[in-house]
Amino acid sequence: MLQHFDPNKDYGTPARVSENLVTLNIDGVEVTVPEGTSVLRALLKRTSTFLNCVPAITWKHSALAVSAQWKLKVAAAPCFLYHTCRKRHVCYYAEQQAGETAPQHHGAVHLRSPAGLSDLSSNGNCELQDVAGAVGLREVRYGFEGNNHLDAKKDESNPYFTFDPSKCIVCSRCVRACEEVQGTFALTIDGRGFDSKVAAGQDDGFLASDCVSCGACVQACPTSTLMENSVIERGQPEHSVVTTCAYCGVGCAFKAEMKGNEVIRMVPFKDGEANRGHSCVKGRFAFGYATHDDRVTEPMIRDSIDQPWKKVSWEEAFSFAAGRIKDIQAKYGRESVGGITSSRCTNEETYLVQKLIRAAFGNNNTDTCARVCHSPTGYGLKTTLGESAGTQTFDSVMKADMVMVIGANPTAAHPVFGSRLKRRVREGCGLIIADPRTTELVKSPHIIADHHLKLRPGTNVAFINAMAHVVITEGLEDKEFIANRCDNTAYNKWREFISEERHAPEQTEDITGIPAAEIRSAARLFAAAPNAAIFYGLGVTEHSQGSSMVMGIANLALATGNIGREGVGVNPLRGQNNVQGSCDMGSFPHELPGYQHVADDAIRGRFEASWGVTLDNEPGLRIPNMFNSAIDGTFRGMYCQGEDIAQSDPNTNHVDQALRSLDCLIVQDIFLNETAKYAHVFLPGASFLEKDGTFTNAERRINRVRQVMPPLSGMADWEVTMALSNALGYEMNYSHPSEIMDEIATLAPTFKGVSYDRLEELGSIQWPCNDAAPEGTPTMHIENFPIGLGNFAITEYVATEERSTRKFPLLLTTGRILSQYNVGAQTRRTPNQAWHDEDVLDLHISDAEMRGISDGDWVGISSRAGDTVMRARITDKVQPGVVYTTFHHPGSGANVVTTDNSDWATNCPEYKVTAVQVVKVNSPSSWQQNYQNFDDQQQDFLKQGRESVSQ
Amino acid sequence: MVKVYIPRDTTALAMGAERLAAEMAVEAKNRGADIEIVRNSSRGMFWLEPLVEVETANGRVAYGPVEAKDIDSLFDADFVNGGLSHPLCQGLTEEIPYLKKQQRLTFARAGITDPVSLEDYQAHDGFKGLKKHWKCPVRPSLMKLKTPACVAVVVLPSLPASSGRLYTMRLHRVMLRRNTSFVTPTKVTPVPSLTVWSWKLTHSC
Amino acid sequence: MTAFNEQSRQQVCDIVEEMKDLPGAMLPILHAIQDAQGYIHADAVSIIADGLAQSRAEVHGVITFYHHFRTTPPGKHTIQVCRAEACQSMGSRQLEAHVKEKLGIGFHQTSADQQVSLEPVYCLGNCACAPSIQVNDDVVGRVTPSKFDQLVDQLSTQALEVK
Repeated sequence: MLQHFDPNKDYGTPARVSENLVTLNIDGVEVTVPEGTSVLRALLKRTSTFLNCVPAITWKHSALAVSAQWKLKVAAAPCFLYHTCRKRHVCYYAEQQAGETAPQHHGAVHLRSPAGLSDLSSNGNCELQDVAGAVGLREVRYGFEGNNHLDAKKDESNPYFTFDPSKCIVCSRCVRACEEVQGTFALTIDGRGFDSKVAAGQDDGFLASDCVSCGACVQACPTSTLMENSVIERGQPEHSVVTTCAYCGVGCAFKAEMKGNEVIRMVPFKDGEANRGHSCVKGRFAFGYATHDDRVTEPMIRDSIDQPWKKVSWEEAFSFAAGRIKDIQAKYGRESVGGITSSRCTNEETYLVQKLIRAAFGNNNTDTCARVCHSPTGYGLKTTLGESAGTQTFDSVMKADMVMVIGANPTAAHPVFGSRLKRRVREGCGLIIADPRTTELVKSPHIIADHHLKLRPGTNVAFINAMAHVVITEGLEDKEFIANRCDNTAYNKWREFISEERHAPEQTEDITGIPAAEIRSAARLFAAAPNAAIFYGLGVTEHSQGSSMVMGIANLALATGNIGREGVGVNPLRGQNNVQGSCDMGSFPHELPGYQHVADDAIRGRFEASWGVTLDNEPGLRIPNMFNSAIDGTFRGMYCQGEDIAQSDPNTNHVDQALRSLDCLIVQDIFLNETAKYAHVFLPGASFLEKDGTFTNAERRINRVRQVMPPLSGMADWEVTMALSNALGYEMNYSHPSEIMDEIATLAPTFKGVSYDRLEELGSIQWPCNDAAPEGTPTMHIENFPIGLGNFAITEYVATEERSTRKFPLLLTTGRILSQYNVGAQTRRTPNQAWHDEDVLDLHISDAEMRGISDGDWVGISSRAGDTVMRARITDKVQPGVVYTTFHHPGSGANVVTTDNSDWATNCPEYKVTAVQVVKVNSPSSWQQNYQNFDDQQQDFLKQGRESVSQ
Repeated sequence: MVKVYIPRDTTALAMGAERLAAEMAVEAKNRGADIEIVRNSSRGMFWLEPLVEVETANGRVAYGPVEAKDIDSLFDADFVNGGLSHPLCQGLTEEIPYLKKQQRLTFARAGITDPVSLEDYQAHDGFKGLKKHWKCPVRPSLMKLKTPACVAVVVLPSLPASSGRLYTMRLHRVMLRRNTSFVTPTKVTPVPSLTVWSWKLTHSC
Repeated sequence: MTAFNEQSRQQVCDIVEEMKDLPGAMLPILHAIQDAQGYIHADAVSIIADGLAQSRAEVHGVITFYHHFRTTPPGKHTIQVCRAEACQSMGSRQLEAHVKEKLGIGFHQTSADQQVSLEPVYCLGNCACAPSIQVNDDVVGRVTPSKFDQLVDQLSTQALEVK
């Protein structure tokens, strides 16, 4: 049910969906709202501004649900809303008179404010002030003497906002926002009566508390008590642009509030269909990197990587790059160059890069970072369900009765979705977590998972097979769904396979480490739930059996009939803002935009006709193939847009060797990232604030990215790609990204109905969007699958070669944390560093004691690929035998340790399992020393380049 | 043996009833007076606390407020036999106007019975309601869930054995919901007519 | 200030473990901890929060809401002076001033020798014999300055009787 409302208005409580409607008579005007709607929300529908209506300072009252008797109360009875507080005693008494007269506000407003309302000044950003003005409150009845809280100390511990308790009216909105919206429960009211105050944690300040800095409290505050530091420093914003966040795959809509060309603050957009007005610390606050001094805004070139950079004009950069590429191709052949598209850039930009590679380079050597994260999702879901994407919307989780989260940590990596999931769990939804680590979802305030299946890293497939075995052998499958919706030949084959005794939990117990009884209980719970949904992350895909696991998950969902309606489904939580889009846009070597295989002559023919070139019918090189060929000397040139393969890809030593072998590396990025240190051409990129285009999030939702400020370099990324293509001799001619989207719509069937006009009209569109679904497809596979019937795949468990040995007895698994993002290029350049300024190695106390390691010691981590050094943190969040770290800081070298083991189907690296040994050390590893020297040298080259005079 | 009542409620204690009772017992022993001190609850006349009452053939005679220093003079004035000459003597308790005017319902027994004597309690209509309850064709109900570690159940001997089993099953369900299980009950018999089963509970995960 | 040692930690863990399944377990747990340790140490909060699957902030909010709960160790003896209506009408303000002077501390403070903590209280239910104070677990009625002095002298005498 689409309900239109003004997203700029604060309705206090979320919209309700109900078939029962309640009609209210407000001042003689009939208003109809769904049952359960708050009184406040109902009233706001009647009036243009709440100031004409009932003051809305307290949520306590606004959260009252409308039921039939409210018809009377709101219409006839005087409506009281009053709020008492300690230093300002504000009583509102607004009387609603029924019948013919307009509402009248009686000035029975008492104010006991030593400061006076004028002092609450946050220049038009204070609801209290607005309300006081609206009801004509001018005098300070109780004078300025007496007890007050004016000397209350400000809390400035959070790097992004200030808490000034002297302005607080203790309305509890922030406390409720933290509890109900974010689900962290970091705030409370300390004390009682006049002494009561808002406190974070145990009144130890925001930074030391459990606060995750999501900003919900700041947004909810009706006074200027909780205020963004940027607003305090630079004043109220003047205008705003709605755009899409460029961090994770949730794709939150934000209102970028501006003063001139400067972003003052990012406020989550209430109409955002992915985030529903919520945000996390990254999207809400960590945007300062866009104007960081490290931004490189002028093109630079150099002959070899041991030379300083030279600043050049755009034209010179293009002709230099094109010349080098052409020389390489002339000397080593058409196949000797390739490129990597970005999951951080827009669909349009990604589309152009792969088009440049296919049309201008004349080969299919294109790949994208999805290779190292969700390529198994694409393969696995395409095989079983027929489409390479998640099946649901995020909203769908609010209808789930049971959620199984496998190998994902949404509260850290997809925080806005994590909050939504937690809210659903607090409403009573069951929760099963399959993760080697104890994540926040296992146990946190008001969340206790029904089961935490603590499996050993690398044993996913054995685990999912055991789940399916219980479902099938205990007769818990959805027979009707299987008979009607699935391919019965495939099902019977799979059924026979999965029923074999070797998949029984009792048999796999020794492999997975999960007690058989626990698997049985979890499988029964999952199968019994009316709506059971699976959400999974990189803990599923980044394994040697990543694709098998994805298929295993799809098998389980099919067998239990949990596909094709709201509240169920198979939902990959995608890592980057546009990783779904970069896959959709044909970044993979074997697929043209819209997942259409290059070998299909008819499809290729359409592209050839549109692009005016002949396309190669053979799939090109994948990223690992490119590295191997580079080392072999057959691959010599690369165009890399917005990705940091040198830091993010596994086995850093191998990547280093490959990149050094290239004759021409063209890097387009906003910073001189790790990869750019190996580059010959540097093309300045544009941050998301400078972009115009679309991102596609994990729920296939195409969101508009609107330009907030002009590109610092003067050129948008799509213009740069276009100019490079033109320099290479392949003509591209677009005047606006919308023209690129129009071209995509003609070539990719699932995008047929997408255009910028439609996006403006609908807000966002979930593909497939075509004649059959002109407004997009929120839930997929409702009636049938793109491949007709659901396909069960045989998922044989094969142990990874990466296993613990005497030499490397521990298993290292890697992941992310909340405040940093991926390689950290952005977040390391923001005050988010306050929460995580170095990567640490988490290990269990028993493993630490055995090695004489104490908390905070330097430890060396070595695998067969390499070794590095970082600080140890002793925790019970990992199980004995497993160690964990993050890869947000290049100097920590987490990927020096990871190996180039990879998924059998897609080459997705096995980041999640590396056999390692950990020992106490007292100096950095030799890799780290070399890295430091290389980094110093390259920073010096950059400095020389910046100081050089453009020729 | 003469019964002497000294209250043990908050106000009496706040006014020194504890020390008074102790010293009075010592003094009685010294003087060879045969008294039994009963610690009752207050009669509700707090301004007279501690209100010492002595049982006589005519009813209870009250003295108050009594402090420890008054003990000697009370014995001297023969309070043990209800001597009326002592300045603190208030006459017969029931005749004190404040009390006489009252019709007591909920507090009818307050201050009259010995609170720790079940016999005394039953002599004053105690357990009347409970006995009525057991006569009804109603299954035993959970009498008390006092601490998380203990649950006590009162079972009348007249009940058929099957009701005990039924009862156990019901209790078991309650305990399961609370994530607890119970071990063998211990049998306590405070009153001959009643059997109290007490279960020690253990938490199970 | 006494440290929150391993023994106290274990005691808190045991209390939480024993009572966490009670309906509305927070208050019984807080009472049990205060009864056992005299106050609720800041480090106990995270144990309680963890046991009840609530946040530190929520536990902190409850502790600070009730004046009964202490977050610092009390003196050997706690004296509460009633400040409610009946006692005030019977001269508790004068008594209060005397008490503060005699002990040399204000409300919510503990004497330098750690012997006595002074707390205000609002009605001890002993209005008929006002003004009232409570010394540790005992309520005392009709307190006059001289009766108070006597009580304090008794306390300090007891304190000297080291067992």
